[in-house]
Amino acid sequence: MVLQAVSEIASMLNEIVFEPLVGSVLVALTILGIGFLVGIFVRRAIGRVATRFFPRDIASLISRISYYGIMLLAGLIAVQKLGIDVTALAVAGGFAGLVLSFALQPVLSNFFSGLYLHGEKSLVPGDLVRIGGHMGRVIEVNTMSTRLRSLDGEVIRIPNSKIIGEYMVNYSKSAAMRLTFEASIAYREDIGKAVETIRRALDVIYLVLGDPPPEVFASEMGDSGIIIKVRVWVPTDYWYQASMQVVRTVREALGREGIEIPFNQVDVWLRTPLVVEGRGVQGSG
Amino acid sequence: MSGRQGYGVPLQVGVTKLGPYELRLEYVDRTMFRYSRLGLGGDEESAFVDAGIRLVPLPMYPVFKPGFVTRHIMVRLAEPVLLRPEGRRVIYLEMKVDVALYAVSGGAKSMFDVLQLDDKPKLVLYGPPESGVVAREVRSPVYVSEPRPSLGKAVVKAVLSNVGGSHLRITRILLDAAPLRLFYRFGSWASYTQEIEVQAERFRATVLYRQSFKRGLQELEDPPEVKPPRFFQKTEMPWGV
Repeated sequence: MVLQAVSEIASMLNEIVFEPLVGSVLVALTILGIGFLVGIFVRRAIGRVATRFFPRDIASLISRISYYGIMLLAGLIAVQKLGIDVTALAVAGGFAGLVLSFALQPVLSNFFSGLYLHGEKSLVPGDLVRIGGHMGRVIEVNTMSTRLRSLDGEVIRIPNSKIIGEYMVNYSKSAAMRLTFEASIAYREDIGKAVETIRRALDVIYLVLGDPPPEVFASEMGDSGIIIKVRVWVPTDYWYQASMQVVRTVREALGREGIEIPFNQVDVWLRTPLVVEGRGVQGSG
Repeated sequence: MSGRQGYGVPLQVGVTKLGPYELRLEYVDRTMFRYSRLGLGGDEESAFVDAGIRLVPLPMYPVFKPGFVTRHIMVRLAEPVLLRPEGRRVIYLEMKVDVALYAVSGGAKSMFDVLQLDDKPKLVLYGPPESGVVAREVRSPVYVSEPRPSLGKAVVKAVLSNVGGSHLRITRILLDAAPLRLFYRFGSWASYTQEIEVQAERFRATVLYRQSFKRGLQELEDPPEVKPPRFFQKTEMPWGV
């Protein structure tokens, strides 16, 4: 009699507790399994698509984030199926996410800036750029930072968020750039002759474009001489060589024509007569 | 130096006059040559060359000297050509070319030296600075019949097509040295490009690269900088002709 009662109670307990639990566990495991398969599929698909637009490291990171996101979602659903209330977990997770996002703000900022730089293709290796006072050629654009080789040969690592935040000049986006120089000639010199001499000198410099033609004109009357402004277009990648050639060639051409390049001159006016006293100087008269 | 001269014929030991250049090739010993080039300006370049190498002059696109800046060549016509709507005319042009000395031994071939024959090379910008291209400018007379080619000039056959509905004035043709091909007649200084077709309308044009228009020519094996693309054998001129 007692045994029969125990058996009935055990059977009832089994029905009430264990069978639903086994069912829930099975459902949860199925959800996790499906989540795992979907995660792998999505990771591969996103990886394949992302490699077309982003470098390998960024594509890999995006595909891994999407995989873990799907697995987290599947985990939460599975836990809920087991009868555990995930509201508290979600609140705790949200709070933890908030704390993490504050802590990882610079990292995330650099990461998303890197994504933006890649998406916009505003920087590619080989570009000549000026960022935050640094000028050089881009070596590599990574997930978090960009590396430049300065014109002096130094390698500079710049966080991507700084590139987005500050102004950047990308010289390589233009086929040609304009350089401006100033030459000074003495007031007694013929401006027309000087301008023509400079024009002829520029004409023989290969890196100075013939079209658009150079602009050479007297721009102002300076302290010591007439300022001749010289504006030339040069291929962007060769601006450095071109600027060296222009200064040298113009200087030599003016020298050949005997056109005086004045030194800085200062006329000093004295309020009171200047008395020069000497010791032991004998006058000849 | 006596003996045959021309594209494809290896330089002989001794002195060779080539345009404004004087080239010297002399034995240092049995295994080495000394090559020296004296230019018009008195500048001299020299190098030691393995005696197993032959130096072969070949025509070269005018983009390597004084320095490789661009592979585009802007042929500026000495006189403009005016075409009627739907008009199609053939003209011949002369494109300045340099001479490259290729080092050849067995199956290996590489560019060894380039002799610049254009004494006043210039670069120009085609299009706006932010999206245009820098091109090497060459000026050419316009011929209605095929001119005789000479050292430093390749003959270009250009078919000009006005595909628009109004008169068209053509003053320039932008070429890309990559799809452009150079051909030469062995043992002479004659060089040619392939036939070029310019399909132009008022504001834009497309340059198409066709086949060689001469028989019995040898084709230049392009250096890596100007290797032809597999596809897209055309050059767009979106800023007019």
